[in-house]
Amino acid sequence: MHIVVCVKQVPNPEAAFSMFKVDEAAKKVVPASGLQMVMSPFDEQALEAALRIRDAGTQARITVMTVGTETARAVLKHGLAMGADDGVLLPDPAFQDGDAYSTARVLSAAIGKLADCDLVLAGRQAADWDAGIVGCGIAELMQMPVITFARDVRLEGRGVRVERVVENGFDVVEAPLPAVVTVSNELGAARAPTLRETMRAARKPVMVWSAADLGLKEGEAGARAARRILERLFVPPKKGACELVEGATPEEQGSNLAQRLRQAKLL
Amino acid sequence: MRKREIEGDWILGWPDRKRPEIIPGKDAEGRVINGRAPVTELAGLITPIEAYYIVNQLEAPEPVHPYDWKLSVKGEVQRPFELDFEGLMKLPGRSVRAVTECAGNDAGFFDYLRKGAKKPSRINQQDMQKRAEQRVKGEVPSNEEISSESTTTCAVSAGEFTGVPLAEVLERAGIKPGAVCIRAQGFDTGHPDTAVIYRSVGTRNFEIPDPGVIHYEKALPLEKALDPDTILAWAQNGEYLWHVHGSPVRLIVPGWSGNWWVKWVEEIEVMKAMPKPFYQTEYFVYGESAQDPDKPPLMAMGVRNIITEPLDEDSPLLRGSHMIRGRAWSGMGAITRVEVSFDEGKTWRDAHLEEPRERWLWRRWSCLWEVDKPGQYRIMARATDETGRVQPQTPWNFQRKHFDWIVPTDITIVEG
Amino acid sequence: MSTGGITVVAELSRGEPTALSRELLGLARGLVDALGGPLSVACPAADGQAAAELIAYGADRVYASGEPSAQDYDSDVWTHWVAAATREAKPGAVLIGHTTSGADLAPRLAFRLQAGIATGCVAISAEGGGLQYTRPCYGGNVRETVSFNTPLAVATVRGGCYDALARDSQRTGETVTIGRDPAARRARVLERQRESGGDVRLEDARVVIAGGRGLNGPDGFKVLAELARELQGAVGASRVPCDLGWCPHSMQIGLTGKTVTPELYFAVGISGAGHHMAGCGNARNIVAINTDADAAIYKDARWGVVGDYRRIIPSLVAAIRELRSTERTGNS
Repeated sequence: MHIVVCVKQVPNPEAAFSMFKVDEAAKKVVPASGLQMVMSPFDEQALEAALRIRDAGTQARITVMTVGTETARAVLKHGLAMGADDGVLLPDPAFQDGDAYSTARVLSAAIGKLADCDLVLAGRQAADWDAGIVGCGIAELMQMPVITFARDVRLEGRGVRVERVVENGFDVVEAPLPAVVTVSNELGAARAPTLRETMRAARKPVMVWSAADLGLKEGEAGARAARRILERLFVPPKKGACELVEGATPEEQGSNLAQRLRQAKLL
Repeated sequence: MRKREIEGDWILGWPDRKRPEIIPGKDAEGRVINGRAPVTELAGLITPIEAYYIVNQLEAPEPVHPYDWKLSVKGEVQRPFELDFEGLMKLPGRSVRAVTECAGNDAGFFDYLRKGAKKPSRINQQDMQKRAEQRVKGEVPSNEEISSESTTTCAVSAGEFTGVPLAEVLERAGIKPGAVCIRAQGFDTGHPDTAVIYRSVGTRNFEIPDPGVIHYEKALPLEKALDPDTILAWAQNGEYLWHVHGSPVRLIVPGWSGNWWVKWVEEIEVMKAMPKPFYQTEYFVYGESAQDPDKPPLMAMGVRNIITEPLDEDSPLLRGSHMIRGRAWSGMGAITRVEVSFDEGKTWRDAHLEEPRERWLWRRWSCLWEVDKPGQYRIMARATDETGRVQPQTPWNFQRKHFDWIVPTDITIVEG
Repeated sequence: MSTGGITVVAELSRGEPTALSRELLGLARGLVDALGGPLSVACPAADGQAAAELIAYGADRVYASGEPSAQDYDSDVWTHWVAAATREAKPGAVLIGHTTSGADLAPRLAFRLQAGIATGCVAISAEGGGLQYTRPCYGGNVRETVSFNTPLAVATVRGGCYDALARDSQRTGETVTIGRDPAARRARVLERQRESGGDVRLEDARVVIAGGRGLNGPDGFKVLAELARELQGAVGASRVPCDLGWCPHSMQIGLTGKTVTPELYFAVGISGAGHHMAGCGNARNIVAINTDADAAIYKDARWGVVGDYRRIIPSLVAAIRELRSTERTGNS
């Protein structure tokens, strides 16, 4: 069983937004220097889902894969320290500055190159662009079934069984392998790296593939292959002044608030 | 004594004296790969691990978790076997307190005493970070750097090591007759850095063969290997070995210089002929020159002694009473006597030698000096060990190793 | 950008178009009025009545599968069917509600049809003969506006950003049947587990009371429930209480989780991070109750109360009851 987990390095989404600057002219979000770069949390949970499959008794080779520059090697290391077996880094500049479509193309080509992948896991969306496209995109490009928003992923027979979160409950969905599953936070917290896995991680192999290695030509990846055109990037203005409801005690504040709401005809 | 302001720090929430720390050199990822010990700041006998010196001949390896580690015992033995960490700790153990010293420590004093070269300081003068960066980048030091005075001091520390005598492990394996040495191999690998050797010698005018990428290994003569104080240690100063000090297991060879104390031990091989490991054939050898046909490997150190108080840097001092302090140790046994001279060696008097008397740990000594007349003074101290050896014992050698000559401290006394 | 019009994918709830689907029709109507072309709706489970409703809310044409019983979302079958309907309709854009179904369907559809894709949009406008899509990113703190270099684009749209048209039963339109292909199914839904809902769905509630980390424990939701009962509102949560197990995930409001558009939104012990505001930002009136006077939530709130919710809310509930009883008895 070979599970590939697609992960992305993002600026720490828990950091206060004051640590980010939006350069409207350059149409770029610039994190403050010193802002930690981390594995997108839903991707951590996708890797957690893979590790749980292994913990449940399946002999699985787990590969973490990322499109990103050399700095993204750190998220592969983090994935290896959580328990993945090997990594694939795709740092070719030809892969950069694309969109979800071009990224899905590169990842699909890399997964295809591994040739024996049974299950692709990814976070439901990346914590920077929040788009939630690449997982389904890989499935379409590789003509695999896809199940989204998983809160539980198990192998059953020659297929995968997923509890898929919907608005007011969940569906139990089964698909034959190979398949793609995207993972949502309802899966639960991802495990922290142990000392042992952290030490072992340093010796686990990381393959580095270029566009040529993947057989991708000019225009098939990165900015040249993108479908999306970024017209504008901006911080939406905040609404306006907030009226503070005072009171000598919290109880008084409560009754004053009731008065305000009534005056505004909201009660 | 001129009072130095004691620097402070916050220790467990309280304001307190600053603690001694290693002077480190780090790699590109901020990991310490070399370091010197602040010897002049040490107060007692055991050097805190935070201050313990570090020297690596090859690359510091990636850590191995103790539960992933195995020791392989093989070669000329009746029962070759593998031992895991728990298994090693189950064998009858022992603790040993000993000085660890780099063979090249104090090398610069050779040229100072022979040729009047610049006198090295007991306070570390080496730019450890620059050295680390050069090492990491594989930079070739300039000829000037190679031939300039050796400045290595502070490459000495002392610790308490807990582990299992190598002899215990070998007994389990059953040494076959005819065995002459034990080869200990670490899981650290790398390309020997010739710059280190050229620096040690002070010139580049000789060839060093390139063995390629090798493991660090030393072939320990059988007799020393079977000494009960030669142990495979898993703990230092009361805690499990730090990775930088050779975790999970380090070979402790008391009295022999640091290059014998193989870190990151993974293999013990009993051999019936002495092999030729790089680090006891090309480096860490005696000899008159690189071309000397007779270059035996360094083994037991000489008789060592350093004056830690006052330092040259403390000059000038006021006339009156001053306590002279130092520490002495030997590669062959306990220090039994330290004598001090204030008249260039014409007369000597015994210093007070502190208990305990231990074979491998340094002994602190002190001597009260009453001085009345302002002027220039040289203070000398010499040590004797339990085998009767008096320093100096080590002749000059082309790699400038195992220095153990008497180094005077130069003090100016003023009126006040 | 073609003038092929727009196709809206509509979802049904108990046989009727959802509020979000109606909002999409309102949005799409405005766009086709600007750019031309028909407004079609793809709704696989629509029967005659549902189709008539969709037309009354603005559709010119409704594509249905002729199998109204199959209302529940099925990813493979819907993707295949909506693709077929889209190929028939040939629109310039396909708009889908940003629900768990829509967020699954839209990227699959886009890749299958070589189209651009923008998810979670909060605004779509006609610019220079084409469409531009604005969506939150970076945890809801930043907006990006994008367009596409493809003839077709697929977008999901969040609830509460647009208004439905007024229902007009005089509107006419046609219904076209496109058969479903069950053979398209590879992933099978074995069972569907649904929570027995509260009286009010979060997405439909006029009043929502949401709790965050500042509740300091699951018991805080009991306090919120009191207020919900008094105002016939629904109780929701930010992501932290859900991840901590203080309440079910189905209560989560945010960038992931539900989008709500109530008239009155109480944010209790919620800091106001972008992630959460993306789910409630379109509430008409926000009341923030928090012990941290510097919390970001106050920038989005109309009223702010700095203090302990455990004392403020019971007093608020009592005061509301008092006001209502005096109203009933005709006193002021």
